[in-house]
Amino acid sequence: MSTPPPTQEVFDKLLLYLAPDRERAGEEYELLRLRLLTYFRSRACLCAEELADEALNRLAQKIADGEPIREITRYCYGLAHWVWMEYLRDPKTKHTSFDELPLMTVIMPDPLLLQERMDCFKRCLKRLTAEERLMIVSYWDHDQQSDSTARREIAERMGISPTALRIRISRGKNKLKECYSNCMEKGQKR
Amino acid sequence: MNELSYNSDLLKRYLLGRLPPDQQDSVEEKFFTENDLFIELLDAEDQLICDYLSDRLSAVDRERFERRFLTLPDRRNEVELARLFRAGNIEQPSIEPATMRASAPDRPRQLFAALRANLALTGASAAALILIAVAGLWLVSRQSTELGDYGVTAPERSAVITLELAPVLDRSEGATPRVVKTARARAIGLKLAAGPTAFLNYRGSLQRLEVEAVEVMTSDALKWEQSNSGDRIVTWEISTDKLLSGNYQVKLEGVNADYSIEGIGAYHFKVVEE
Repeated sequence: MSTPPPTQEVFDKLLLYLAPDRERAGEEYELLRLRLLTYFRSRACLCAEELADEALNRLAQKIADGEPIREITRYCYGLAHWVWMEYLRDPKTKHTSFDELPLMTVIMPDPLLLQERMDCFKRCLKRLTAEERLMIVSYWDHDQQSDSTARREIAERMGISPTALRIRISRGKNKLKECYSNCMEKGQKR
Repeated sequence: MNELSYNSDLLKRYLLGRLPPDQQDSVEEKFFTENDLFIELLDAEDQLICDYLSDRLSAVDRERFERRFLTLPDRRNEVELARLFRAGNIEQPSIEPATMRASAPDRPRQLFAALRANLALTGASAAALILIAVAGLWLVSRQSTELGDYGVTAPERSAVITLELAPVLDRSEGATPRVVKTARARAIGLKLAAGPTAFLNYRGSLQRLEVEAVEVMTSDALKWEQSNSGDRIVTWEISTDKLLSGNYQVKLEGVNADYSIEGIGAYHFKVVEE
């Protein structure tokens, strides 16, 4: 089960299918990918990223092959299901459900490691753009109100739609996660 | 119970795996087809993490949360970062809306590069990187000889070490290509896989990656050649004098005919002294 990644032309066709405006199409693509990740993660899948990309590669190819697709998101849901079934049927797959996984308890790290983690976190927060930092800090800092209220207020302040804000928060968090992982990895090698 | 709180409760139960299979399928089909519901789901996930860290979950929900959120690396990282934020007393930055960019520059191109870079499903490692390092030496005829103050001829450095690189997505996964800087090496010749798009020109920025990325040098007119498959390979020869031991990143951009600029990718490598 491996569909080759799309060419630029095929990818551009997919974007056009999602929305005529390229930037809006990019947002729809990211939302689609996030949906796929959510779908596969809810099934205790450790390779959620790979399966999500497989589904998207197939979707892009179907569109390039001229297959008529009325509702692309519903079609993608069907693709996700199909990819998941294939993954389970693959003899190389050793899938374990959440209920079979050992319970992960949180062990408090020693003070030195805790400090190192905090240093990495603050350093990585500084490496975000000002806009990303504002979004993420504002978003995390709203414990007293509902998420949708907080999202609306932040979106209004920034002059963008709540959906666009949500996508950018996801992007910012991914950058933060990657930076933090790299920073911690460097620290462990010392 | 209004629709919003009904949704929140339903979505929370979905995230904790407490829905019967047919209801789970129904929620999933809905969040694929309804943008608003999916955004609410992402919010519900954040709220769940918040509730977990504030110790507001019941014992049963807490156990379910730990099984579902602390066993998958990406979700575990998310919880970790939220925890650090709460512990760190991070202040809200103040920034005027007018100073913010309207959107990330050409995000679709970044998404395309990311999708192309992920080759886990074609048999490469689960780290999903294509990293090809080819070290080769060949002799290049010497252009000039410099005499030091004491009439001593400087040792001849004429070799160029070649390193072929592809754009990377996640630096934490897989091995970074490395090049060993020898005494005879005059330069390192980077060959950067730049994809099939024909740009008018190529620009590159070489950065040394330590705690912060430090720019070492830039070039506004990189040369390119065509591979057998028709893709472009951008070449950049960098003097070894500029390269200390350490981790490096090249950010490659393409310049279109209308002079707009598009990001092509980031290429990582490591320099090690002989």
